[in-house]
Amino acid sequence: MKNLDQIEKFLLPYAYRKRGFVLMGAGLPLVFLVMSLLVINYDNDEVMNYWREWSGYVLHIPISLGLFWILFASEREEDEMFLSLRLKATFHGIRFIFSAVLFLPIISMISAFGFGNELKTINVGGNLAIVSLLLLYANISYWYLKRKLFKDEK
Amino acid sequence: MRISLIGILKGNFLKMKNSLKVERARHDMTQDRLAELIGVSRQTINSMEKNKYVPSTVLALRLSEVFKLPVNELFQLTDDDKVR
Repeated sequence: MKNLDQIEKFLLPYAYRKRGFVLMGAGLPLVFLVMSLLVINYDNDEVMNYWREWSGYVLHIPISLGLFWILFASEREEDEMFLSLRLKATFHGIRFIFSAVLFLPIISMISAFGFGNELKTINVGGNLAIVSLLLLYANISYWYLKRKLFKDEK
Repeated sequence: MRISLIGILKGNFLKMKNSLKVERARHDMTQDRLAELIGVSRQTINSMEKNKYVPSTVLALRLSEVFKLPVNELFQLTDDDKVR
């Protein structure tokens, strides 16, 4: 199918799926480690400064890259159905991120007006964190849609 | 055509009946063989037979070529989707 071939050119080879998991395998323990350190040393300025400076490189890049490879690596037998599932999952991700980003100021306002805290924008880790979250949700949606489609196959 | 919000959120607002399974049986063809002929995966054939996936026009035309039937004999609109 010619029109489909054009789109498939943009997909990564199947091998990238495994590479994505390897990268995630290395990235996720780092997230837990840094998050644990943050929770333990929340008042420690040195740790917080280190987090602000390096968080993007240490955490979000490997995770985003891994998730991107997993989502956009072609299937063993790629075709239009998988492409449409991937597109649908990406839209799910965008919708989720849009709602989440709108929801943050609301939480902030509830916290400020309801509990008397300072009114400030919640920092979730910048643009890279948003990209990671989008890719994470898109990946989850993709696996869910695929599972829903094939669950009664056997 | 009635499209419910829940249907859109679930992603199943496109409904179409088809006689792929019957035609495949009539031609004594496995899902694998049909998939090979029209250049898709076996899972796609399975999803189409179960009315879970609505194929593109190109794919529908390929199927009609394989079964030597007009597209509207292979795929039919549900009552909700018919032109009023």
